[in-house]
Amino acid sequence: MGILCQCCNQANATVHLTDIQAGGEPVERHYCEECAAQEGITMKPHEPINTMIEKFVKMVPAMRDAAQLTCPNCGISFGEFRAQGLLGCPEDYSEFGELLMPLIRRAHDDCDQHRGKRPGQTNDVGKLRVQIRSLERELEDAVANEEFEEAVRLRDQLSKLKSTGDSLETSKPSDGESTEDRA
Amino acid sequence: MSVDDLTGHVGEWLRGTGPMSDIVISSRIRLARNIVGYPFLSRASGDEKREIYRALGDALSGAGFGSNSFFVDIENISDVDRQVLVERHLISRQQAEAEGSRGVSVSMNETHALMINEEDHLRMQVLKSGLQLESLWNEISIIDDRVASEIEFAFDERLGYLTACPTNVGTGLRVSVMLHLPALKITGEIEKVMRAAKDLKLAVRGLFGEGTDAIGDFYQVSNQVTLGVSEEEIIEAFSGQIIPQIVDYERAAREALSDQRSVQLDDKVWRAYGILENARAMASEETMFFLSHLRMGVSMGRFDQLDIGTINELFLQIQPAHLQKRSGGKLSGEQRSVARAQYLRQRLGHNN
Repeated sequence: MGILCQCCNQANATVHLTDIQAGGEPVERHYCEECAAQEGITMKPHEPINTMIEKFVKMVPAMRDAAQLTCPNCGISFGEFRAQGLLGCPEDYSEFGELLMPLIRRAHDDCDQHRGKRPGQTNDVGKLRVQIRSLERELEDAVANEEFEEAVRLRDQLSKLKSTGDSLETSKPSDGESTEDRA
Repeated sequence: MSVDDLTGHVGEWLRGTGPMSDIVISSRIRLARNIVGYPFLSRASGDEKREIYRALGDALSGAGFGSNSFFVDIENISDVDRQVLVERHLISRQQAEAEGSRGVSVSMNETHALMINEEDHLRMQVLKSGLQLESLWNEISIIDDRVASEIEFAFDERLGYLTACPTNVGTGLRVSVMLHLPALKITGEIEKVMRAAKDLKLAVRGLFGEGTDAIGDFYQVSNQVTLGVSEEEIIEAFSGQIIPQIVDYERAAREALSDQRSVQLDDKVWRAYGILENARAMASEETMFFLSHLRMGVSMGRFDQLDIGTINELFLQIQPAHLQKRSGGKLSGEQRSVARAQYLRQRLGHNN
C-alpha cells in the first residue's frame, strides 16, 4: 500500500515533498519517517510513531490488569484514577507506585525527586540556598574573567554562608515538632 | 466582615502599584497541601469533608489567622456571593461550584486567601499587584510553616507534598502572573509568545484561570512543573527571566505602535473611551475589550483623564456578580448590560 521510500526502498513513504526546480518544474520526493529525519527534512521524533503504537499495544493487557489495581486504604482503582485524573488518598502514591511514576515524570519534565521545602522547614534555609547558588554563579564568572581578588572574596563569603546553612539544616526540625519522617 | 463589605472597593492586587504594574497586573503564588489521615476530596464523604473543614479551620485559627482576616463558609452563602469571591480571585471556580463543607480565610486587604476543601484539603494563596514574587514567596512560606506547626501535612521524602492531582505533587507550588498584553495582541505577535511559553512548559490562561479565554487581553502565565525543582528556582525563573522577557516584548510592541501607527493607536484608545462613557447597554466581553484599549492608552501616557488603579477597578466592578451586588438583586443578562453601561457612564462620563 502506498509509495515506497525512495531512499531505503523498504518502508512506506509518509513524507511527501514537492520541490519546484529553477525552471519551474515540480519534482516529487517521497521518504519514510526514518530517512526523512536522516536527510534532515523532518525533525526526528523521540520515537517513531509505529514503535510508540507497538509499545502501547503491548501495554494494553498490562494496562487492563493495572486498571483493576485498587488502593486498600481509599478503595479507588487505578482505572478510576485514570478516568478522573484525581487520586483518592495520599497512600495511592505508594499503592500505585510504579504505575504512577511514568505519568509523574511526563508531567514534571522527567523528574521524580522532590527538591523543595519540607514541612516545618523555615524559610531561612531556602533563602540561603538561593544566595549560595547566585554566589556560586558569580564566583564562576569571576574565575572565568580572571578576576582573582573578586573570586577570593566571593569564595570566603560562600564558605561563610555554607557553614551557616549547615548549622541551620542540622538544627531542624526544631522544638521536636515531628511533622516529618513519613514515607 | 462579610462578602457584602467587599464589593465597594478593590483588593490590593488591583491597585495598579508594584514593579512593572503598567503590564503586570498581579502576581500570585499558591501552595497545595493535604492533611494526613483523610482521603483526598474526590473520595471523601460529606462527614469527612466536615471533619477536614473543622480540623483545618482550627489549625488556621491556632496558627493565628483570624485576627486580621475573615472567614467565609462557602457552603452556606448565595451563588452570587460565591461568584463575588471568584471575581475577586479569592476562591477558584472549582471551589465555588463544589459541594459540601468548604471555606476560605481571607486577610483584610485580600492579599491572603486560605481555601479549605478546594481540589486539595488546603490551598493557600498570596496575591499582590505588580511583579513581586520573592516577597510573596517569603509570606506564603511563613504561612505554610505556621499551619504546618498546627497540623500534619501529607509529605513523602521522594515525592514531596502529596496532592490530589499528580500534576501538583512535589512543591505543590503554582506561580501565576497576570499580564496585560494589548499591543502584542494588536501586532499579532502574541501567538509567538504563547508558543515560546508552551515550549518552556508554562501554562497560559485567561483572567479567571483554567478554561477561560484571554478576555480583555489578560494572560495568566503559570508554571506546570512542580516536582524536581525548588520553590526558589521556579520563582527565580519567573521573576528573573520569563516575565521580564514577555514585558520587554510588550513594551517593544507598544513602542512600535506609537512610532509607526500613532494615529490608529490614539483612535483605538479614544474610541474605547467614547463608547465606554456613552453606551446604554454593554455586554461583559465588549466592555473588557474596550477597557483593555483604554488601559493601554493610560499606561502608555496617551490618555491622562484616568489612572491605572481606576481602570483596574472598573475591570472588577463590571463583572456580573459585582453588578448584581450593587443593584441589590439578581439581574438577567440584558439587565446586567444596562446596569453595566450605567455604571460606566457614572464613573467615566459627564453624560449621565
